Amino acid sequence: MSNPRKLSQETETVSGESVELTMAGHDILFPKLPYDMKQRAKDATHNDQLQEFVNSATRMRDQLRINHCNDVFGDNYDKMRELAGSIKQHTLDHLDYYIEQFIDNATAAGTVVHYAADDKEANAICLEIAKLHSAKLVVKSKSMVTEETNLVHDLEAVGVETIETDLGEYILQLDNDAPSHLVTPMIHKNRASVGRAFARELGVEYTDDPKELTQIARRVLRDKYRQADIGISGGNFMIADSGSTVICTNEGNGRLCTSVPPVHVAFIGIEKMIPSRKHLPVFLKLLSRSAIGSPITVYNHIMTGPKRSHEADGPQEQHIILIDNGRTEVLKPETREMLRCIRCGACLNSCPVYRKVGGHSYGSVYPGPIGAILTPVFKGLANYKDLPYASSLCGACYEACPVKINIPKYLIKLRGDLIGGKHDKFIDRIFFKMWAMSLKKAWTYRMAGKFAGVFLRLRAGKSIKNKDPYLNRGWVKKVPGPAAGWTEKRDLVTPPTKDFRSWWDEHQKQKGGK
Amino acid sequence: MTRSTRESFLARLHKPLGRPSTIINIPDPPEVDESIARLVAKDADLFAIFCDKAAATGMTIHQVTEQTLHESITARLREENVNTLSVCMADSQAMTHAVAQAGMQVQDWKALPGKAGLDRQFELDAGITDVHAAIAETGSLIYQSDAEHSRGMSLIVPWHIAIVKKSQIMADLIDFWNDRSSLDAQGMPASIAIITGPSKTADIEGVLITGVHGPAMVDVFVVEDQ
Ligand code: SF4
Repeated sequence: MSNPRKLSQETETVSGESVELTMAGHDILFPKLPYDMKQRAKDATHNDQLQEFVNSATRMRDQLRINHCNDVFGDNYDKMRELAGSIKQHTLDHLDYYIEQFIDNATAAGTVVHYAADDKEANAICLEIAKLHSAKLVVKSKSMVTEETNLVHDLEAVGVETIETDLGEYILQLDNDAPSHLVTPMIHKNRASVGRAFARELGVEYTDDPKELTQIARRVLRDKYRQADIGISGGNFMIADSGSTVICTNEGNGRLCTSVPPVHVAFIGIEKMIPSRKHLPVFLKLLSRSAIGSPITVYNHIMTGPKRSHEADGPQEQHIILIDNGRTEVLKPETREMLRCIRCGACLNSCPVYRKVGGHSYGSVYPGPIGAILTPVFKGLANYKDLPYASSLCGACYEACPVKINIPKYLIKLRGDLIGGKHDKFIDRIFFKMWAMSLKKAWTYRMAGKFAGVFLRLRAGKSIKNKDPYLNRGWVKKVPGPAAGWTEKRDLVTPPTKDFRSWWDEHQKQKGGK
Repeated sequence: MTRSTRESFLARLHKPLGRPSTIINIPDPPEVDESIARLVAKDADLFAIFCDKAAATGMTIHQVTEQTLHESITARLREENVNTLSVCMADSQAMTHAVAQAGMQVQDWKALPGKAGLDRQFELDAGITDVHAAIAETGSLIYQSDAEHSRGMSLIVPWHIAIVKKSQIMADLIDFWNDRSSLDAQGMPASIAIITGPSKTADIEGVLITGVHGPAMVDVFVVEDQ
C-alpha cells in the first residue's frame, strides 16, 4: 500500500481526488458557520453505536476515574485538583515570563523554536521544514492542535505522505473520519467498520477481531517509522525551567515518532506550559487517572533538545512550533481559566449530554463540555449559539476536571452573553422583561400565573371553566416564544382550571383554618 | 506573509495579560505540597510496592540476586526462543558474555550509529537494558538516552528486558523530579522515558490489547543489591 488515503469505493463516485476526501472528514470538525447543532445531535440519537457503546464506555471510564482517584488521593482528591489548577492558573497569569524562559532554555538545549500566530503560519513553518529535508513521508502522533490547523491535509496537498500513528487516529484517517473524543478518538466507531476500512484500504482479508486488526496496523506502521523523514508530535506539557517537551501516550507511537525519524517537529499550544520540573509529577499523577483511571500513561517522553553529540541515535533536529491560533483571545482575564485544560477528556466522560450526542455534534475540534465553552470563544459565540446550551448544568464536568475549570460557570456566562448581546429574538427579550417584572410582587406573580394558565388552556382548545378541573386536560402541542423549545420535542400538559394556591385556600377554609 | 518573531509573538501575550512588556520579577509558583501530592512515603517498603505496582501494569517481575541474574535471564530468553538481541547497559560486558555463552546472537548496537542503527533494531527479538531509576508509586522504569543507552532498545524491540537494582527504586515521582531539577537545559538528558508497562491500546471498542507499537512484553529483573 503506498497511500492510505487512496480512494475508497464508497466515495469514488462523489469525488475524484484524495484531497477532497480529506475535506469530508475535515467538514465534521469545520462545519459551515454559523453552526446548527440540532441535526447532528438528532442523528446521534438514532445511531446505535453511539447510544450503546459511547454511552457505556464513557460511563465506565468515568466510574474508573472516580474509584481510582478516591482510592489513591482519598480526602485529598479535591485538594490535588486545586493544586494542579493553581499551578496552571499561575503559569497563565505569568505566561509571557514562562514562554520567554522556555524559549531561552530550549534554544540552549539545541531546539529551534518557531512562532505561529495562527493555523496557517504553523503549517507554513512545518511545510518549509519538510521542503528543506525533501521529506516524502511523515509519521505523526496524536495532537489536537494539528487538528485545529488541519496539518495532515496541508502536507498531503504538497505530496508529503502523512500517516497518523495513534491506532484510533490511523483508523479514522483510513476511513476518512474525524475524532470525536479527546482521548479515545474513534469511540463512535465499531469493530466492523474498522474491519471494512482495513479490507478496503489495506487489501487485507476482512476480520473484526480487535487483536488481529491491531496486529495488521502494527505491521504497516512499524515500516512507516523506519522510513519516515520527519516525526511530528503534539505536546502535553512544556517545562519552562528546562526547555523540555513532554508527550504522554499509551501505545508508544508518540515515543517512536519522536525517537526514530531524523527530524522531530512538535506542534504545541502556548497554554501547555508549566513552570518547572518539580511541577510535572502533579500533572503526571492526574492526567491518566482522570482520563482512564490508570495510574500513569505507559510512555511519558520528556525531551530536551535533539540528540547530543555523544549519543548514538535520536533526532538530529528538534523544532518546536509555539502556537497561538486564538489562545491569546482566551487569555483575557474573563476567560483565562479555560486555558488550564490538560485535555484529559474526563469532562466528556462525565457529561450526560456528550454521552448521548457524541463528539461530532459539537461541530468543532474540541467536543464535550470543555469544547462547549472553548469553541465559542475561539470561533465566535454568534457562530456557535447552541453550544452553551449543550449542557444540563449538572456540574459533573466541574467535579471531574483535574485542574478545576468551572465549566458550568462559563456555560452560564456564555448564555448570559447570548441574551445580553442581543443574539436572541426581540419577542423573547420582551417576554423575559415581563416575567422579571411579574416576579417582583406576590400579586403580580399570581396574576401572571393565572394569565399563563388561561393562555395555555385556550391554546389546547379547552374551555377556561371546567367543572372537574383536574380531569380531561389534554395537551398543548405548540407554544410560542421562549417556551417553544419545550414543545418542539414533546407536548405540554394543559394546566388545570384551578391552580394549587386557590385549591389550598379553599381547602383551608373548609377545614375552618386560616 | 510576514512571519511572527519572538517579539511580535510575545506582544500578542502582553495585551491580554494587561502589560506593555514581560514582567521582570521572577514569579513565585505554588509549591508542590507533598502532604497532598506524595503517594508513597520515602521510608515505605519500596521493593514490595514496586514489584506489586509493576506487575499490575502487565510487566513480568522476577526477583533475583546478583548471583542468579545471568542464569535467570538466559533461561527466560531460551523459553521465548530468542535468536538475536542487543545489550544496552552502562557496563554491558558480563551480560553480553553470559548471553552469547547461552548460544544467542548478540548484536552490537553501537556498530551502526544513527538512524541506520535504530533501523536495524526493528529486526531484533529482544533488548536487554539497565535503567536509571525505578518508581515504586507507579511501578515505572526510567530510561534515559546517553552514550551507553540507545533510545530504541526500550522502545523498538518487541521484548524489553529491564534490570532494576533494588537500590535504584525511588518512592514517588516527586523524588525523581526533585532529583533532576537541579540540572540546566544542556545537562538534562535529551530523552527521558518513564515506562510503565508494555505498549497498550483500547482504541477498538475499548478492548485492551498489548503490543500495538512498542514492546509487547516487558520483563523486569529486580536485583537484590542491598
Ligand atoms: S476541561 Fe478539565 S476535565 Fe475537561 S478535558 Fe480539560 S482538563 Fe480534562
